[in-house]
Amino acid sequence: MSRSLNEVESIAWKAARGAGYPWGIAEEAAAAMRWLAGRGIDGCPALASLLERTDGSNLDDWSPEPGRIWSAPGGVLCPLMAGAALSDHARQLQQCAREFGQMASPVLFLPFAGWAAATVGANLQVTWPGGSSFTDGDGLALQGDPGWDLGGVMVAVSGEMLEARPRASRAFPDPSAWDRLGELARRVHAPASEASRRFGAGGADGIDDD
Amino acid sequence: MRLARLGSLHQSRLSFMRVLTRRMACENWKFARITFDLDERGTGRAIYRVDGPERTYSMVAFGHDLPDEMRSDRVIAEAWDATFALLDGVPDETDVERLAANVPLQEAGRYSERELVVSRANRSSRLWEHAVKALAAGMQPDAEQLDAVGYLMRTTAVYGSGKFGAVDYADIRNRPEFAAPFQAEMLLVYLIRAFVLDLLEHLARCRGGEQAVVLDRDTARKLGIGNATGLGMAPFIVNHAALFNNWIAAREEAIRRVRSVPTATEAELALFRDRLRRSEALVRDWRSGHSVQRAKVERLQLDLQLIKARIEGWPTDENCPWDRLVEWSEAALSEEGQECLASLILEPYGTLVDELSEGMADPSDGDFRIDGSMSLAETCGLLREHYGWALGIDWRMPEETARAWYISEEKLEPRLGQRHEEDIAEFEQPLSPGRDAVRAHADLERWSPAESVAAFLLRHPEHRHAIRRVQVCRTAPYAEIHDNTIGASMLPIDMMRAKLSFFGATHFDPKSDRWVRIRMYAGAPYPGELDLGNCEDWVYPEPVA
Repeated sequence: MSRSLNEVESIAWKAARGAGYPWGIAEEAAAAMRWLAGRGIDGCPALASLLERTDGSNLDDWSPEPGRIWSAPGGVLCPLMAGAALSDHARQLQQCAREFGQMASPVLFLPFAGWAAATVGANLQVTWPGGSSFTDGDGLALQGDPGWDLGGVMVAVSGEMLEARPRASRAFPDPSAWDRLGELARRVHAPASEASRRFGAGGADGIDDD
Repeated sequence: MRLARLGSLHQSRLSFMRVLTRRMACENWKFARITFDLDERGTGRAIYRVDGPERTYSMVAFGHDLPDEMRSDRVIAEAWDATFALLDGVPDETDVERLAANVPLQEAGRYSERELVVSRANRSSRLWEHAVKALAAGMQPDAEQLDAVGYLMRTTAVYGSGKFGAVDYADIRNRPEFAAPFQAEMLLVYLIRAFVLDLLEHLARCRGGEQAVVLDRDTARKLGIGNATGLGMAPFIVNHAALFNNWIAAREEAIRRVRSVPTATEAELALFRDRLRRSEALVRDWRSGHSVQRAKVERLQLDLQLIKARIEGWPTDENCPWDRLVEWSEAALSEEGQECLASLILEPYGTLVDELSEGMADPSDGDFRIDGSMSLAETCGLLREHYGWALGIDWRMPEETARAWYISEEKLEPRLGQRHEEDIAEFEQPLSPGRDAVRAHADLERWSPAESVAAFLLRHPEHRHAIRRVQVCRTAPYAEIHDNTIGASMLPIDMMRAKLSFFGATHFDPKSDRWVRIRMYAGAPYPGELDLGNCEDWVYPEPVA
């Protein structure tokens, strides 16, 4: 089934929050999923797997520690936390490349490279064992499949930019991944309680009298 | 930008309905009823076609026979008197069948990139039967009853921007007709109003046959489309901070331009006086059962008299007369009166202000990248500049955090709960920018001002949302409501009023502190009547002699 990019954004926002991420990171997840969908990539399976892995754990364990290689204290980086850090520290890429340690669902990291490229005004190449991607801040060119856990990810300014993937205005999410995200998204909804009904939370409980 | 002021905003030349009627008249859009296949109960379908200069759009409408007990304005209702979709282009038979299987289900249906907007409407149970009966019997409905309600049907939701699979706004924003916000939504509502009149007269004809008459045109013109708006709309202006900034910024810039006009010509003054006089009629017709709003309307009536007295015998050669008038209003009028005046002074100056509507959309679609290189000194400076009001609130006081916004599993709609009496805090939506900024500020103060936002957020991802908002304010000074959105005394209707005024709604009639009825397009010419002479001033009724 085709979905609007707005729907993709919205489910990612809720699912990331439902899985325990702070709102600001949930916003990054939403924007990242939209960015990927707009370039014809279904990020839903990667996001669902990531959120199921990090669910219930301490996010600090998945967040990058600055160093020669930015890696996670728990061993595996969350691409949203690592991506946010990359995008926030984008200007440093003008001086030197940045290397990240092992990362879960690394396809979710690519949009952040895109935003970092836009910030520094240069093409960025993301390389991992077996593949790489190029972005000029807008387009994305992909060589190989970054769909699994990766040993190490290098981000560097590049003079090169391969032909970008065609843009897409609709998303075609994997149905089972969509459902898994839906399960997580539901967690942000409060169960109705006697108290909420008593306090008239919705307000428009009035009768349609005219 | 306090809530009380936002809750006093009025429609203006920049309102989205007026932007649309202006464009449709200037570009000479053509309207046609292609299909009208409804039975004597109002069940069936209709198709209306709109031709702009470059593109064609169609409204596909479905009429349903809804038993009275199922008619509800709640957004969670599951059946309506009529349901609608605005389609890109002209529908073929397959499209119509696809829509017939989905549009009547509204939120439970699925839409494609061909659909721009989906909506539904209910009859006003008070008026509908009366109006059909009267017309069927060859008489006009009672004017007093029509005036009291102001519409025959009201929409209970209008969904665009990719909802339920419909086309994303990003895909249509480059069309000139959708450059200003909510134009597709406003177009559908405009067509719904035409359908409602056609349906009314059709049912009267079915019932009365030869005896039936059509609704008097002046009476029809006065009728708008009603809308019942609940809490679902209130968070919008917080969730779309950059967009809302652009609305306020356009309005402020329009006011600034008019205040800078050195002298007013006789013609400009005459036009202002005309709109002022007709505003009195508009406000006289604005009834509300809500005590707070009633008091505001009464005061507004007085304010309009004060403005009239103030400009009597006004010399036109006075230096910057509008500036002086606005300055005077700040002490002389209520907030409702001040904002009404601010809208009114724009009326004579279309050539100065109308172009500003082009800048009211948000080209980034809400996406804002945090500038990690910003120093914490600068971040704190921005925070203090834009959230000083929040830093002055003692957030430990229970009344300052009495409410929490959340989405209920039962209704999937934004709701407002009592934080200290219900277990809802863990479900709270990020709709308290003031409190969140203050929390971030407390941690920022523990860091060296020379550090960067990037370093801070690496340690404090929980403040990422608040820091993003703070940075948005750097280029969007009106992004943030300068008031507590979770306090015990907050009125959600103020947030709704702000948004609805930009739509161009009138006759705000709050039914409680959290839902409001309004009129849209009341006074507007119908398709086929719209021309350059009436596309602008239709909001302002001619007083009845």
